[in-house]
Amino acid sequence: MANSNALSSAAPTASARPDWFRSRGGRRYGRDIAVLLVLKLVLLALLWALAVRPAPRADTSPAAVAHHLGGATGPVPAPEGGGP
Amino acid sequence: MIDSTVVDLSRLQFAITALYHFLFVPLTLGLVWLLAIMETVYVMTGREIWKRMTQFWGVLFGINFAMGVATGITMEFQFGTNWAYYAHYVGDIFGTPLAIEGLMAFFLESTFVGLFFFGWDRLSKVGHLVVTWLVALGSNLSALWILIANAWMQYPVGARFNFRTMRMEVESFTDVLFNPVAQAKFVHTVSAGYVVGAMFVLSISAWYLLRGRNVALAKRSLTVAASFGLASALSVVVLGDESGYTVSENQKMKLAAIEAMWHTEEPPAAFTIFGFPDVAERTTHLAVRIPYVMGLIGTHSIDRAMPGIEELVHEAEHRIDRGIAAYAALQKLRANPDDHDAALSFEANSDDLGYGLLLLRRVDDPTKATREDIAAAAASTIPNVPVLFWSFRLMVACGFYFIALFGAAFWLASRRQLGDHRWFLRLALYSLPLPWVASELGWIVAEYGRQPWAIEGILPTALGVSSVSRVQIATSLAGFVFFYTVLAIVDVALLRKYIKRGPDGLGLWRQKTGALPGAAAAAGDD
Repeated sequence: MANSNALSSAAPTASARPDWFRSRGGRRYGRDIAVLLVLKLVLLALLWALAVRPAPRADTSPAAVAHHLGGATGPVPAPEGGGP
Repeated sequence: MIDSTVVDLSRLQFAITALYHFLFVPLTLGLVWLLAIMETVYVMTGREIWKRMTQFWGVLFGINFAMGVATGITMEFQFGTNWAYYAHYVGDIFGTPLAIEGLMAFFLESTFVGLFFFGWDRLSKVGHLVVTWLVALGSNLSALWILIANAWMQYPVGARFNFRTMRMEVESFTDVLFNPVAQAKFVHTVSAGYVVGAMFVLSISAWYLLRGRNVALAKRSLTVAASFGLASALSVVVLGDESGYTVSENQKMKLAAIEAMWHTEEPPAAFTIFGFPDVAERTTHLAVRIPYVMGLIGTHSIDRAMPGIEELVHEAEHRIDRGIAAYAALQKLRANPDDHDAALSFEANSDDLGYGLLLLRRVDDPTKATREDIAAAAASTIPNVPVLFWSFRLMVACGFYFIALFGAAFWLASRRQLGDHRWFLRLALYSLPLPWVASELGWIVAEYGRQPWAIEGILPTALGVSSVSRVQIATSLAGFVFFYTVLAIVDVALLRKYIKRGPDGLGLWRQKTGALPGAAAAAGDD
């Protein structure tokens, strides 16, 4: 009881008892969320390592894009200024 | 030549990811406002039950948020792996709102989500309420920036093509920011999210009432959901009309396909409420039509014509001709940037360069295209008419159903008869998946209807794809499906677990006695 009063006087609370999120049920909920987040991080990392990292880095230089759009072969001007 | 299989696999992968991500986003967008409303009532009245309601729905919000966050990041992976040319071509414009979303909205939202859960006994009542409202604001701001980026794909304003860098560059960020399509899409999309949130609370509350559990919380929750849901469902329809109007202004082919309007009609056009579009015959069988309605929706007038698919294909042929001229000028400018005549020609035709690029799926050099190639490329500007026709109608039907359902819930709540009609509670429960179905159909109408464009009139989808192999795409697609399936199983299991336990099972609230220590007097019912 004394502890409960000490808690409530230490922080501005809506009720005298510790909040649900700090109760046993709340801590279990926090664990579930943490497991979910860790699982997601692991799966994301796996996905990145297996599918994203090995993917070839596309050449997106102006000359490469010009080639992609139909084989322009001219010199590549410096990327400055606006369009025509 | 472009590999169609790589294009289709890349599109499928992106579509799966986007549709999956969009299962979580609308619930976050909607549920957070319900939390804010419930907590506001708690702060205003001081009644403990409203705090417990906020916390219980907050528990479910937390699971959804934890699941949804970062399922969208894989789309950004894909911009790099599968859509490198898209990323280069329009990244200057498209990337900016995405970056602002991360830096501004997502960080705001994420920071305050933490405070929402861990600040209940560390913040004052009002302080915590401010946190909850900031979570709501952050999540909706996040949607705003994403939809600004998406709207630019539908209606690319404030940018122009630079032949030196071979990409689109921002001319006016203000135009990008205040894109009318972005405004219409934002309000329509977030209000659809509010309907999802309201239906989630309505259905689960109905389930508790059917089982006679958590009656006091469920009745109050259902009342809040009914009011919020009715306002949201009405907003979705009204704001959807505005969204439709912007489509009629900027994406005429998409609208014509949604309506299966094969030929231009005398204004005001009729709305085809039912029918079977026949692509081969370019007609709609067994069409049931309502006079005037489409003209009023699409043009907000009775004297403006709406072009049909045939006429728009014909117009596309002319634009492809100009696009070929732009392409030829671009080739000359690439070879000699000081070619004055080429610059003038490019300036005159550059708006249609994208139409010239449509030919690259058929010929290596658009300047050598035949009339048959041009006609085929023009015909390729027609999206999948039956899919759009039916997706749109099912979405609209869902929208009107939501108005009726939330209207009935509001009526029963206002007469304090929510627990008296079990048929209604069952109807509310079984309606749970429908807002998600409507949201996904809306995405299909908006994005599938944009085809064959990645950026409307600027960049054909096929040209945005990276130079990757079929095997690479198929492997990563399998990885995405596995990743998302595992997460979906965990998510559904967690949500089921916490819903089944309910506020009583979780120790958030005790039935009948209102008997949390020190809370009975404040509960006032049950």
